Amino acid sequence: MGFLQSPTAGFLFNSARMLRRGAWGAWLLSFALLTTACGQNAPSGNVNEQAIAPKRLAAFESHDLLVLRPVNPAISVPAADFMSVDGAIATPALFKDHWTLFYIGYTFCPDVCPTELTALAGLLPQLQKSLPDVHWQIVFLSVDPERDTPKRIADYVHYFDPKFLGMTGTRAMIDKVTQPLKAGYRVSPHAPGDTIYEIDHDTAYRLISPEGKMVAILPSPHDPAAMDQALVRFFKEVVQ
Amino acid sequence: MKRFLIGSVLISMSGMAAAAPVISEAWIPEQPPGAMASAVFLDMKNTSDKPEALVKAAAPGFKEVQLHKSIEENGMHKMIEQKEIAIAPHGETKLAPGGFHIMLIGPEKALVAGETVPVTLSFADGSSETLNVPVKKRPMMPMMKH
Repeated sequence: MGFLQSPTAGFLFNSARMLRRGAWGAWLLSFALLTTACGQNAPSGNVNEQAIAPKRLAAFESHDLLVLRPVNPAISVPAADFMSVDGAIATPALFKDHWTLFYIGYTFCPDVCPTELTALAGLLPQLQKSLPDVHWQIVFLSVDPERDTPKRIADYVHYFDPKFLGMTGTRAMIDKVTQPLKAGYRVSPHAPGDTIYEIDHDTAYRLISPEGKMVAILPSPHDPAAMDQALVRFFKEVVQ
Repeated sequence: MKRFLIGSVLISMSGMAAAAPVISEAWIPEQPPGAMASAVFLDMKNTSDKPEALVKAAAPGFKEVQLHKSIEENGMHKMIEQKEIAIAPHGETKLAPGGFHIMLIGPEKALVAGETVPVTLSFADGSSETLNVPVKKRPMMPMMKH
């Protein structure tokens, strides 16, 4: 796999694959050559605004599905209303002008959520370095509105990185978003008023485009270096 | 300071001849302010020929202390409460992120790195040990099984 770490070798490898795909591949190759000529820091158009080309998303093949799974066709995040400590948040407007890594969890979570949020806090500066044109945004949706107030969520996520955005909403709004994104969770049965209960939940990071579409899933366990490499390639082949 | 010394020595409250499990690498990750749950991670070594098990953990200053296991199944994280955590004869059981842990629920005050928490572990053979577990910041690179 070492040769894939070299951008040039990776490019040649991908180019050869594209050529085998005939006319579409040739078009993509010329496009790739054009963007390469312009340099990595000069993408065609603004990566934080432009819509994803469905054909480029469809053509993307992950080198490791355990690191990044493209979602093809992309899944639109429905319109829903949430609350953060700074006020109301609406999807899909939340995603505009950003590329978002979206994670669901709950602050009562002693083990996995802190682990995943720590990994995100480590990944973010890496991504800002390797994809400097991209405006990154980390969004944590608490699926535990019974116990998680916007204040508690903000205190929790800001501990890992003050730039993280934490929010929650009514059960109906949470489900409106988590269902189509296939971000499963299950609240363990508990008596009303009982404050000690667990929530099983999906641990993947979901990549959401500026137009509010989920285009990839990064499942756990999360290795920041592997995710960084996979996302750089995804942006090169699908976005820029 | 006195408490620190007592904890460091690991007092065996009742374990007579039976060799109590050897505990090492105990730590509690510092949690965000207001977090309602934390965890104790540690290694338990059974030096005897008999199966051993951690059956109970207790710590002052928490509403509840439970034994748990985190598991990952089809991309889904679950926590399952454990009646006991077994240690095979001459074996080792690690309580580590993403697996077994002692769950500390409802702290009276936030746990900050540098503090210690006296945690009492009770084992199936009737022995128990109290150790002062340090609160530490989580490492940036999570130690997870691949």
